[in-house]
Amino acid sequence: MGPRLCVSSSTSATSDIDHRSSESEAADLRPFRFPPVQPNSSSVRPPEHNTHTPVVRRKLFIKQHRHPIDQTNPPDRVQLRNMVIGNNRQKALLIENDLVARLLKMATSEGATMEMRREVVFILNSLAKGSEKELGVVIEAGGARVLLHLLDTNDDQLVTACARCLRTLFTSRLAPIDQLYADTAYVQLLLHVSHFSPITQEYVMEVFAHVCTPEHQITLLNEGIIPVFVPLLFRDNIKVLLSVLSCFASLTHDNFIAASYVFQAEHAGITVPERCDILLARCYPVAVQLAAAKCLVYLFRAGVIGANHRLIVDRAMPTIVRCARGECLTPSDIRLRVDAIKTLAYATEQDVSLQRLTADNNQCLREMLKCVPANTPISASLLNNETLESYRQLEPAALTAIASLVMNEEEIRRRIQADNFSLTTSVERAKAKTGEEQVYHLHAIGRCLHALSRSVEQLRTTFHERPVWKLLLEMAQSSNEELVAISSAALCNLCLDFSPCKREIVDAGLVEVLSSLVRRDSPCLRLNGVWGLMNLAYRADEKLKMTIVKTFGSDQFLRLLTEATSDSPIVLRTLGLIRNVLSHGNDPKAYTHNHIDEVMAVHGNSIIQAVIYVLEDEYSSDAKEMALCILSNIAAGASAKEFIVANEDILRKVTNYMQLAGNSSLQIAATFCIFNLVCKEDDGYDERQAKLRDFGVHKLLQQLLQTSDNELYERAKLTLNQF
Amino acid sequence: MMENMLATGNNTRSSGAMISSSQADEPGAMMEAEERDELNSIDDPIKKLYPFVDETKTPLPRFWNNGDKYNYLIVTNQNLRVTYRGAGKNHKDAAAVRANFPIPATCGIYYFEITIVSKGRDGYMGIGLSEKEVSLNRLPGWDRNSYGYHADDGNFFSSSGNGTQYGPTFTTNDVVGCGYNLIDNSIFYTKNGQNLGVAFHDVPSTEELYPTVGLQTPGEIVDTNFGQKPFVFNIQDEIKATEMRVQASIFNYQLPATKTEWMNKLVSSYLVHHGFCSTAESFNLTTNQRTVEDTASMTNRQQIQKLVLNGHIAEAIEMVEQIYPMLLHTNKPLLFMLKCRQFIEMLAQVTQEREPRSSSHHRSSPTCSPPYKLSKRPSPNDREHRLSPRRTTRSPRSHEDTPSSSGHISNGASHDEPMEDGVYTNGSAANGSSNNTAVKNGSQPDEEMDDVEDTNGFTPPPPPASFEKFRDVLAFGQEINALSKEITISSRSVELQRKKMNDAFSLVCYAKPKESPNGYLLEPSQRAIVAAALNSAILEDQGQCSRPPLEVLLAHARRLRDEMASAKVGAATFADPDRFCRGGSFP
Repeated sequence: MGPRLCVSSSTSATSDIDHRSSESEAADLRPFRFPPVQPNSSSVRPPEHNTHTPVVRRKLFIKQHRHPIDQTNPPDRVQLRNMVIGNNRQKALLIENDLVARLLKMATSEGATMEMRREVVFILNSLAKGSEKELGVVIEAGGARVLLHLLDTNDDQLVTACARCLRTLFTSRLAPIDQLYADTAYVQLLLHVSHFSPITQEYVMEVFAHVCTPEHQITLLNEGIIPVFVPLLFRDNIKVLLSVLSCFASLTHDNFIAASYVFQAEHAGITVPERCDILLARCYPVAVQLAAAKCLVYLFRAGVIGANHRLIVDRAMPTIVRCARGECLTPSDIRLRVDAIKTLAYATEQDVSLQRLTADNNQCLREMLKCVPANTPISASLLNNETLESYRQLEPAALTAIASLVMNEEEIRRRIQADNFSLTTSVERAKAKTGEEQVYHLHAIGRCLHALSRSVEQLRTTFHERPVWKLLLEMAQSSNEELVAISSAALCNLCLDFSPCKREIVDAGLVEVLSSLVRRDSPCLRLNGVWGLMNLAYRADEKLKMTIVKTFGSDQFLRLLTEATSDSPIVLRTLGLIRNVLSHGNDPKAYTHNHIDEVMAVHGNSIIQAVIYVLEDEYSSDAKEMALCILSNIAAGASAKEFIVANEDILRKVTNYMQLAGNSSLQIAATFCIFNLVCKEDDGYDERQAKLRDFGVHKLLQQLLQTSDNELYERAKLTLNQF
Repeated sequence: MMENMLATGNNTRSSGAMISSSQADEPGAMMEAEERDELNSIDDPIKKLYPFVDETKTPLPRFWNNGDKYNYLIVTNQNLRVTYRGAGKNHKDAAAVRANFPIPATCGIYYFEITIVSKGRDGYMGIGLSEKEVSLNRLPGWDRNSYGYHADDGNFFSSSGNGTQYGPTFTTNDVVGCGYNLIDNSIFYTKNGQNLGVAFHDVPSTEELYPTVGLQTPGEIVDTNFGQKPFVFNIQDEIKATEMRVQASIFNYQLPATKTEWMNKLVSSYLVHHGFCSTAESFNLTTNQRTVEDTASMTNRQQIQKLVLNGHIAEAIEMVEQIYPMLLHTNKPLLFMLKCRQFIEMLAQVTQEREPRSSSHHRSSPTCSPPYKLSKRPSPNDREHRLSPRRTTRSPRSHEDTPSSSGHISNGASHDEPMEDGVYTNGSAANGSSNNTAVKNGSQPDEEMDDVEDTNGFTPPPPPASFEKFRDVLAFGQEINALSKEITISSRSVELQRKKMNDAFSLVCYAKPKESPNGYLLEPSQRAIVAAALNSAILEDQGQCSRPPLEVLLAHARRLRDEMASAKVGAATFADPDRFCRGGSFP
């Protein structure tokens, strides 16, 4: 037992080996933490300049540190440092002895010398480079805060050591971003020391690259990060360049103000976009080219560079496409490729001309389609863990890029079909994944299907022949909100009147799925739900209409309207849904009013409430017109007419809108409603005519004959003829 | 004498830095490449695109060939505009025209652009490449050995009547470019400056393809740019990228492990040859090699070389006679060469005194190694590079002063953390230290430079009227002439040297010899040739190679590249050995 431990600790002087293996050994050894000392054990080869064996050293050390660590003298710290370096086992042991807290305390104590602090930081850095457990302990003990504090010094070496350690902490998966943003003074300190020395600069910039996220745009802007960073774009240090460019991308992400600052910032008479142009030259490493292109794309998406700007069209996009194709990249650069594809998807998300240009550039679309193979996987045995992770993102990233490229142009969509593109196997692959990876992949498929569902042709072919809608319906019921959003958007298109698979989806429970969306909190989901139902109700048969209203729950109408802002698209879609439900069916000649009466008999009150709410409140005239149309539809029913005639409040509102000079479309809609009420073809028209005449409608109609609007005139005249 | 003083004063150089500077310090290595560049820098934009093409052997396409077109076409505007004047009823009325020459393989990447002036009736146009014997009554791409991208459907046709879906359609006002990559034998197109990607991969490398355009309906007009004007597409970028790819593939080629030793010998012999003694020693130390020549001898050679390079020929001859007493007696042509140079230096001195002192000071500056190289490389290395010869003339023991290991270790430490561990065990935070030494290294030479300027400027130019001096020069000239006659060996190099002597004599006749036809002889760069010849002779005298194997290999590589070019191997274009010597960096 003893010898075994001795042998293993004598390896402590050698460099870091495989972390995982030494970690597992460390677990083995834990019970033997304080073995009997065997200095003369034959298997131990004493170090040349030291009379103690490593085991002895370590043991003595731990004993000493039962006492306050501050009393240790320099040689001990050096010993500790040398012991910790590269030896995860030692790290694990020391962590358990609560070393970190004591080290931190020591570094911040007032009496500590610079040298002492430096040593402490060295040790912390070594610990943090151990397993994730050690790293976690350092971070939880507030290591980042202490290190940031220590930056406030003139000691170059200490600053460098701190920066190096901060880099270790912030580039890890456990990056304590909150500790940095806890006090803006920390940001200032970091910015301040970024000029200390080239190496410090490199470390600090790497920290920034990891903490500069879109959530912290404002803070960083206020701290004056841009003027400090711009000159760094002119360094030849690749790491610094990459860090600055990545910071700029995060800073400007969807932020017009930040983007304007970056766009105008200059150094030595060269602006940031001009510098990016230079960095796009082929002599720079591909990573730099891509980062520069990305920076330009973010400026473009934030709105400070036009989509047809030379820098985007001729410089950034070709570079991104090249990287996305994997040109000039080794297989191990797959991370860059995935990054390029994601940037490509982001860049072309909205602009049609850019979609067209990019789809053609360097066979980009075809190359993206190749990333979605028709049959399953390529062996990935040659890749290491990190690249494997990127490799798995390749297909979903390509799908999002395809989705962006085909979003608007029917001609480009058609090319996809020509290339015999099928998502079926991709769905299988997505389902074989787990957790976040699966969500990402499914989301990408959803985006792609959504983009394709905008095409009438695709609706009639792809979606009809291959039941991908089943996946969409499944996704719409997932617990992940993003998946629900994207899939329901696609479903909205699938339930359009001319979609051949509409029937099947409805049978599979589409109405229930969409109705449940309306009850969700997210406005986006509500909108998709109500939009889908509106599409579904359009020219639907009476049975389906009844199902919709019943499943939807008529009480939802008013709730949707009151909870949405007056300019939200939800308002129009909700009213549209009511209107479609109450309008006549497929064949105008054969329609009956039965369903109107039926619907109104059950849900009349809530519908009328919703209509009144819109007519009374401050809504756009589109919404009000829609509300008046709903009234016209109600008035087209038989028994339903009573809802209006018996309600003087409504009658008054309708007549008011008839008098609303200057908005003829509202006047027409109101008049239409009156026409339906007084129409001679319906039973009991004379009573209603009498009532309305009393109400002054007849006179109003005659006044309307003075109008200069032809349609209104015709409508008024037609209505008057009924009297 | 002056130089000697200066040289011994400088002992701070670390041997690590010398390795980088010495690579550059190869006299004459870059000459050929530069001469070639010079020839190509004639103001011809087409030629500039393809610097490796030798137009005396393989002329470049420059316009449409009026004699190689179907008669439905009319070629105007310096043979760059093509107009369709046929019936245009069906595909039988298609008509094509070829350029005046095929694309030379040594282009590497060939590119031309077509602007659609008018799409005419239907816009059935094809742009591409075809071989000489392909029928002209067709659009490019329909027949064997012919390739074309068609406007109406955006399809690409390769030797077949059926196209494959390739790119967007094109029409009036579009600019379509056609590129032929002779390295990987692929064809690509561009539209309005956007690369459309590779259309075809496997063009047989035996084919000699001509730029070709085909039209089919009335009113179709196209304009052509063979490179006379700037292209819409950034082809330079593409060329640059391909060049970098070719170079990377060479750089990344892994020599078998057995070759490592051979390679190290090569490097070592090169360093020894040129007398970079401390570099050679530390290189040999790290690669476990034995130094063949002892340091003293190396230092001597270098000192002699330096004297020649600085124009102090008389001192150089004196030193050679001291150390290698027999050399100049047995090797008369060498002595002749040296004396000729001495004559030129004397003449330069005299005329310099006659002329205003404007350019004199850089000429006689003792710090110069050949200036033609300095101008080539305005890098931070520059300074070290200039100083290196001086520094190495220190006493042979000097390299011991600077512990060669320190430089390496601190360098490594300052950079990365795989060293996380190793660094600290030294007990010092290594980051700062490397910087400090770097600064020290940098500043000291500067002060010295000032010294140089000062000591150099102390002699005020003597009054003109130096006829006396001229008499000395002329007398010396006669001496040389006599020496020339003594040489009985007749070889090409001796003949060349005699010619050079006569050229040098002619300089006497000019008031401003520097501007005369033979003024090049006054260039300090000419000293390098003499210095190299002397160095080789000394080495040969000592039974060593007169030319370092590395330089022989370089010359060999150049020759091979030329062979590849004449065998029409496109890959030769970017496999330029001289480009490797220069290395690559950011703009």
